[in-house]
Amino acid sequence: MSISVVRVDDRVIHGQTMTRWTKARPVDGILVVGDNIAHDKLRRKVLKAAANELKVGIYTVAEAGEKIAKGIESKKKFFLISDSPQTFAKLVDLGVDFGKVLNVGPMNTRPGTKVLGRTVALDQNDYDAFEDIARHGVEIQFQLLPDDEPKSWTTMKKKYDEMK
Amino acid sequence: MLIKIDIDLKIAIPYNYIVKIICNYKMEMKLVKVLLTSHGNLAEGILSGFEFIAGKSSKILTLELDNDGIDKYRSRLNALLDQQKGPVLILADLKGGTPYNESYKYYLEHPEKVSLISGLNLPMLLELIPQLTSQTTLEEATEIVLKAGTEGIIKAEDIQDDNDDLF
Repeated sequence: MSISVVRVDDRVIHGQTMTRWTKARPVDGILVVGDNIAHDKLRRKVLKAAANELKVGIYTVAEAGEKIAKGIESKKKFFLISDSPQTFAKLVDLGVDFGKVLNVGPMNTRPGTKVLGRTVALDQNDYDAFEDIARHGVEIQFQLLPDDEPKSWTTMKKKYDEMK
Repeated sequence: MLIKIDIDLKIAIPYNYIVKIICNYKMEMKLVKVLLTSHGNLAEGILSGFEFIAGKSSKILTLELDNDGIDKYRSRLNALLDQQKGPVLILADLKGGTPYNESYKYYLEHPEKVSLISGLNLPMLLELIPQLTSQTTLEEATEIVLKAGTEGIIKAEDIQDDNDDLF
C-alpha cells in the first residue's frame, strides 16, 4: 500500500500539509482529485507551486481510478487529497479502492453548512457523502494535524444530527 | 549543579518516584526553547501566524521591546533567560537592533546556553518547532533555523503545468 495519507482538505495543499503531514508520513508525490480543480488552470499551478519539491498530479474523478491504482502499486509513497468528501464518495461509488482510512482536515464554513468544530463545517451533501463512504467500509477520521486525536464519523454525525 | 531533595522521614517517598523527579528535571534541562524577540509587536505577530498554521506550542517564548525603553527590556530579557533551565535559541527581528544587541551581550556571557539568529521569519518556526524533541541540541536547532529561514525567501516564477504522470 503506497498511499500514505488519504485526506479531505478544502485548501488541498498548503502550509499544514507541507509542514506537518509530510513530516509525519512518508511521501514522494501528491495525487489531487477533483473535476473542479483539474479544470482550473490557475489553481493547478498554485497547487503545484505550493508543493515545493514534491511532484503533484491533478486528475478528474474519471481519470483518478487508474492513477490511484498505479499509486498503490508503485514503490513510491503518495498522498491522495481532494477538497471535498463528495469526490471520495464518487470514487467509492465507481468501485475505486483507495484504502480503508479517510482522514478529514479543514472543511471551512460555506453557505448552508453546520459548524461542528473549529475547522469542520458540513452541508447535507457532505453528510450524505460521508455516509456513503462509511457504508463502503472506509473508516473516517476527523484529524487536523498528525498529533491531534482523531474523531470518528459516528461522533461528528451525532453532532450534525443534534443541530437544528 | 547540585540537586537537593529534602526527604521528610515521616512520609515514605518511594525510591522510583524520586528517580522520576530527577529524570523529569534532567529532561527539562535539555529541552531547547525558542525565544522570539522584536521591536514592537512583531514577535507576538509571528507567533500568532505560527499558531494559526501549526497550533499552540509550549516551546516558544516572546519578548518585545516597547515604549518602556531599553533598560526595562534588558532586565526582562536577562530575567527570562536566567529563568530557563535548558538552552535557548533566540530569534531576533533585526541584526543590530536593540533586541538583537541585548541578546548578543547575553550570548557573549553565556555562549553554551544561548544561540542567536537575526532575521526572524515564519518559515524558521514552521520548520523547527514540529521537529524539536528532547533530543535536539542547540546546534542542531540553529542549523535547521538558518536553512529554513533563508530557503523561505524566493522570487515567485511561473511554472510548467504539463505533466501529471508521477509514476
